[in-house]
Amino acid sequence: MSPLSATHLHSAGRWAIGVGLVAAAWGVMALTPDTDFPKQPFPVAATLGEPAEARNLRLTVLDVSGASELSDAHGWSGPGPWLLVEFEAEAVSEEATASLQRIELRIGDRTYRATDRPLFAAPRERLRIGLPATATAAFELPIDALEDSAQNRRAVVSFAYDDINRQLDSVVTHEVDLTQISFAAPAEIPDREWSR
Amino acid sequence: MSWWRRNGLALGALAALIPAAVVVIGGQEWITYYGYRPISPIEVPEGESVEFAGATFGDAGLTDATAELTDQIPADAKVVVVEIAVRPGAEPPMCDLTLREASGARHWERASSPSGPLDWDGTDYCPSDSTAPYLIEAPFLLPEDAEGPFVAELVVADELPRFLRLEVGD
Repeated sequence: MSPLSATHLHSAGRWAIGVGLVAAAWGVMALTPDTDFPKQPFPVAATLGEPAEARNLRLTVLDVSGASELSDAHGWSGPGPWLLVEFEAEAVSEEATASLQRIELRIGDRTYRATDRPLFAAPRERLRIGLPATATAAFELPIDALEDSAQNRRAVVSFAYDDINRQLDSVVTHEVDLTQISFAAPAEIPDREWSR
Repeated sequence: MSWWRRNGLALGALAALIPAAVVVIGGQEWITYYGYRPISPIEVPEGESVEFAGATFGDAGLTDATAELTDQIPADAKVVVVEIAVRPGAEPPMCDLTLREASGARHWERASSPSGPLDWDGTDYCPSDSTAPYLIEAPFLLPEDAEGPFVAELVVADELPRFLRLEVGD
């Protein structure tokens, strides 16, 4: 005599419960978000020249420009086109993990990492608490990024600390219209320096 | 009621085993996460010494080195140097040193090279090959508004989750 056998249902009632459970299961399946949904980072939109406040990060996008060819003051150069994003950043409370390991440019469904080649630009160097530094992130672009297309008008630059565990941390994003940027002239990428 | 009575032993076992499973699995997860992180400080008041990881750490203090390093730091910054006297035992421990506001709000890494911006000659860590007494001198780069009081946090990997929190004043 199991506890359930004490209940007596009509067969129509059993069918109703069965169908109801199948429908409920379908509803749960339909409502379940993607598996990566619980891991989404928290985006913080940054406008040009305005400081964006994220977890342990205060970042200001100072300038966005283009270059046909890039060089630095130490003899490095690389053919472009390049997108240059000059930013000022400081840590707020914790220095241990305060290095912008993830600096990306997203165009449509393609993601580009900021270059590490001009060593002294050092956009990924550790940030200091309360002492902002100015650095420039450079992205080498494919030629089709210069065309006039919907996705090129809505490219997104993002900055975050952890490149591997991106879950549930804030990410500073800045939208860039690549079609409004001139990639005609060469440019020199400045070395990282203290802002003040 | 007879079903409950016939299965009484199994039900009783479940009542004991489910909480035991939660404690064992949860405890295992807790240990693998927190057992290797500095979460259990040994507070050392200013001026006192303590035995830790087979060595003696003491006489912790703070000095200001802003004047010597002004050409390497931004205008509104200052450099403080944490000094800790170490008397190693037979097996000198390796250590890592950070600085925290006593209020807990802000936590600094050493500012000496290679990962920091300052050129620095002092011993800013615990060398594992030194059995003679030595002085740790570790520089930290702070914004001018950081006024302390401060504590130095000294972590020896083998001793985790315990670590030393030495008062160094302001």
